[in-house]
Amino acid sequence: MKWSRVGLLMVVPSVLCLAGELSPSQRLRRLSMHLKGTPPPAAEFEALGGKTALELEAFFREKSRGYLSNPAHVGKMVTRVDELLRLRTLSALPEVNASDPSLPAAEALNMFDLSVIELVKGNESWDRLLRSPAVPVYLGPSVTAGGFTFQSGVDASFLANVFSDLSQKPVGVNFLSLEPSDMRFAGVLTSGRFFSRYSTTNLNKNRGRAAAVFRTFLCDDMRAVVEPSVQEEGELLKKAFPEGGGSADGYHRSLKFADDDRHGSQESCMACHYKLDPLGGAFITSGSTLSDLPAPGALVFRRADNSLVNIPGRGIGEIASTILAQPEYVRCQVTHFWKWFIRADKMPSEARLGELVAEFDRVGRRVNDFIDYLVNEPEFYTEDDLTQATLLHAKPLLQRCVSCHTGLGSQSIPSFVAFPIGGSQKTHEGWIEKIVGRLDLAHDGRGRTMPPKESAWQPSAEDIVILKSWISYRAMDEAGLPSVSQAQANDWLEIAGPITLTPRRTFRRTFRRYVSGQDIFRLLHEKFPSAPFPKAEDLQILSIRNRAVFGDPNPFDGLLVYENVGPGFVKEFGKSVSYFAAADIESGPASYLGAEVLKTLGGAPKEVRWSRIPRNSVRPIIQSLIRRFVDPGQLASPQRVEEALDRFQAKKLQDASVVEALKRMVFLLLMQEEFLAY
Amino acid sequence: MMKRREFVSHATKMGCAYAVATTLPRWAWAAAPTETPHYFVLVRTFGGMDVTLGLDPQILVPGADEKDMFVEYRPDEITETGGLRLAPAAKSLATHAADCLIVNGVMMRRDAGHEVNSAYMISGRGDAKAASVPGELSLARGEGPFGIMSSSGVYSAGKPISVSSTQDLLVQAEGENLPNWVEERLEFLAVEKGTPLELAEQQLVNGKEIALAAQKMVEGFKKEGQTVDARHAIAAALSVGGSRHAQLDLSASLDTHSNHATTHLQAQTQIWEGVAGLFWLFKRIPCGEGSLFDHTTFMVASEWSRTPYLNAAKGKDHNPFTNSVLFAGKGIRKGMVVGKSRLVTRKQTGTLADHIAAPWNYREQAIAQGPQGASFIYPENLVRTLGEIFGNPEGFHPVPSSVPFVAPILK
Repeated sequence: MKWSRVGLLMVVPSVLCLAGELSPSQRLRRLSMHLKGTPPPAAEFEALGGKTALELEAFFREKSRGYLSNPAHVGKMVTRVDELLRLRTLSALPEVNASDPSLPAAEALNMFDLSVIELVKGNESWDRLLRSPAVPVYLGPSVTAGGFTFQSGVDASFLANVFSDLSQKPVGVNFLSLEPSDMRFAGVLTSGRFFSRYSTTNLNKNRGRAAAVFRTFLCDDMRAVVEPSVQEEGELLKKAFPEGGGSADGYHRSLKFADDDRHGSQESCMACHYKLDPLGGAFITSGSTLSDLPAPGALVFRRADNSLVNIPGRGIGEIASTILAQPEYVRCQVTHFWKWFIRADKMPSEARLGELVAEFDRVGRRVNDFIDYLVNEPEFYTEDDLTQATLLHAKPLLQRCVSCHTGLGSQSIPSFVAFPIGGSQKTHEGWIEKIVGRLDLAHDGRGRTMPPKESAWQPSAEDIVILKSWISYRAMDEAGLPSVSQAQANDWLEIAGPITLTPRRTFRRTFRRYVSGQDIFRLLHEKFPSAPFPKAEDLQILSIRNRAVFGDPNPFDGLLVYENVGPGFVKEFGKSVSYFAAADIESGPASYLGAEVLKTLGGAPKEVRWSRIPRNSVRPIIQSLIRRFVDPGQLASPQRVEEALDRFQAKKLQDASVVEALKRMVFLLLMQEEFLAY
Repeated sequence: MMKRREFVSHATKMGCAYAVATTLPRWAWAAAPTETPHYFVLVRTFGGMDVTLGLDPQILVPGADEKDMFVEYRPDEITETGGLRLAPAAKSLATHAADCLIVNGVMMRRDAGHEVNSAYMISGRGDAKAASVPGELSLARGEGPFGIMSSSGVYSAGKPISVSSTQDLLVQAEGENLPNWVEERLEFLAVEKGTPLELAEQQLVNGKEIALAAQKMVEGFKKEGQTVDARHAIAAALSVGGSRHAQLDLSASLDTHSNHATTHLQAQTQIWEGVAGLFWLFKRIPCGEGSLFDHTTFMVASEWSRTPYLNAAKGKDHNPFTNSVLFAGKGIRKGMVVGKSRLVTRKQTGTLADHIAAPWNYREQAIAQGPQGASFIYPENLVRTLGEIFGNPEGFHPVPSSVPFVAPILK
């Protein structure tokens, strides 16, 4: 007998049930959660009542504009941009500064985050991430050491080569003006935070920085890999046997490149390096601090039509301006916004993307204006019918096949997601039939021969169902057009007709967004206003741990940790709820019990048993808890919840103190998928 | 303070002996009474250790000087004990030398950045297709209710790996009743069985007795007067059956591109002292017929070594051409060094000196004497060797089985 395969149990594909338009309360909650990270107040839910469809549209437009001016929206955008650039997200909420409310969190007082804050606060053009007329820098008090006086602040030393007069500047956020012709600056790319995240060496030659620029601003994701290579091993062996064999003559000449730049010269590597090296060159004068001299470089890449773009720049600033003029940049940025505000698992069609790009340009690429447009579009407040698997769902599984077959020593196969597979309808049908056969889909994968047993990835039972369902609906392409006949699908799968999926909720990528670590704190802070935040040391510890469990993107692939729920998530969330609830209930029990009930207890709620609560007061308390912690439209059946809490308190809480009982009931209410998703 | 006898008694009850009790929940290792426990702990450091200061001590070869290799200790400062040779940073390992094996001359191929090379070292794959060894072992062998016990994030390569944090076990005060609350939640308000949230909750509930046992064990360490940290949490988690695989990140400022002299030595010394402390702790905890150490395979690694000479900033840069890995505990041959590295002087290269792995001949399972049949010991070979150490469990295939293992490492 083996240990339980805990991990495998977590593989649940993203299939969800809801279809059609969200209810007004669901839409309002989603809007608020997206833009502020917290649900709307009760009054806003109440304001939805009795409105006509037109009035509702106007209401939502007004709300989105209002939410976009909320400081929490700025904080959420800081986190989004941090994640986009694969920076460590802040352990505090970016918008909260405990010691000076006029400033963002102390951790956000750096050029990078300040640039994002100013951009979002001012509804500026998104382009300012790359080119801005001023650099926001937080400068602390002057410090004297070793006979020298200098300005403190995280970026003071980073900028010391460029601005010699920083010590004359006032304490606080300063905006250092730049000449339009200044080629040394390129927005967030020339910030201390970006430089330290993407450090460089003589060997690396700023390729990490260049790769981050391509990935973020042109959606060209080039990943460094270390793969076995016979050619490389030969070179390494020559290096290890300098005196050996017949390779001595000319050995050093032939390996000259290996000493300083082997990686950038191999043919397979050059597929990326022809792009990375010219852009990396524009960072070459700057190591860990910004140089006062711009370095020339170039923006080089091939367009989808294979035409070559090769535009030199006198410095990173000029290259940044060049990037802003590329259609690839605009499409890429629009895609980021789509993923943030619409959904990450389904991209817009080409036609729709074109419309979005036009709108992005029409609003002057202003960040909040474009978000305002997106969140009022139907894609934001409608859901797909996901009871049948589409290519969208099958795609990640099919890509696994392609990914492995292009790996170590395997036979190559055509792309399974470029239809028709193999280039013709005949080959397409042949490949689909092969997929069914190799995975033994007709028998739920029991006799499958692919992937091989030793493969690192094996499809789960749910993966098999997804593939079966997709093929059973005639293996439709992304446009929803069938690619095989129903008779073929039935024959291959040995079925009588299409296979309908059982809808499941999930924490994976779906249209339902799950609250991030920081949002959990925004939520809890709002639900428990008397709980100290964020001064208490233990809360900060919770926050840091919370980030570890929920927050940071995987530096390798950018995947967000919190998208994969596990016991760690339950623990950290549970502890956070426990902490906030205890502090809030103990400091203001009347708001939970009502003043009258509190008076009748005859003692402190921490010491008096729950059984002392008058029986006729229990149900109103429970109802008030539900009203307070559950938003309208959030739970499928509030009545069921009320009954469950009633049973729970009668069975479990009689010996608990009042505070303890309230904490446990609150926990029951909040530890719900409905609470954690929107 | 708990007396030694009391501690032993306590640990016998709560340690590996506890893990084999038949009363454990279904998450636990049900076959334990007849199966010998075998745990795995990966100790990961980040930044790149100068192996010449730790596991791969160097004495300048004739004809070489400081511009070929900067060595900041005298030959008589190298510790030779238990079959190992240890440079000053690693001398704290001397008392454990007879239980360890060093692999020198591990070829990391190229510098693809700290993160990629680190992933390559701990997974055997530099293409993001395999999780780190604890993750792959966990997926193949099954895991306890805690999942992998780790002091930081576990490299998963996108695979569904369950992880618990050591910090969580060390600071339990506010979460002591959590499993009971979650159980109540499932009893009264779960809507449907089998959602990811509910599965995670169920996992937490099923492991609550084991969690209590682990907490008691940590309390035992405290009563002994020990300052508990992630190492204690890992020891407790493994002992009580909460986890089978763990990862400990030991951090120090190792990436010394400038001011390398003395600063790197100090940083690396901290790392090895931490490792020695881990071994000491595991050796003190009874498990079956021996100690927890005897039932655990350890691997200690960083992503690469450092260039042999000092750069213009008096630092040492990344050197992917050699690396060293420490193995200890169960399943390995002990008190020996496998593989080696060599210095190729600037006179030989015509440019800068190279500190490079000595090629390895897999047919002869020895250091290659010439180019014929020569390859290198790569991370994939070490991961493949770990597969052998763990009996090649079904489903453990981070690297293809055609990749040769390094036979001298095996017991």
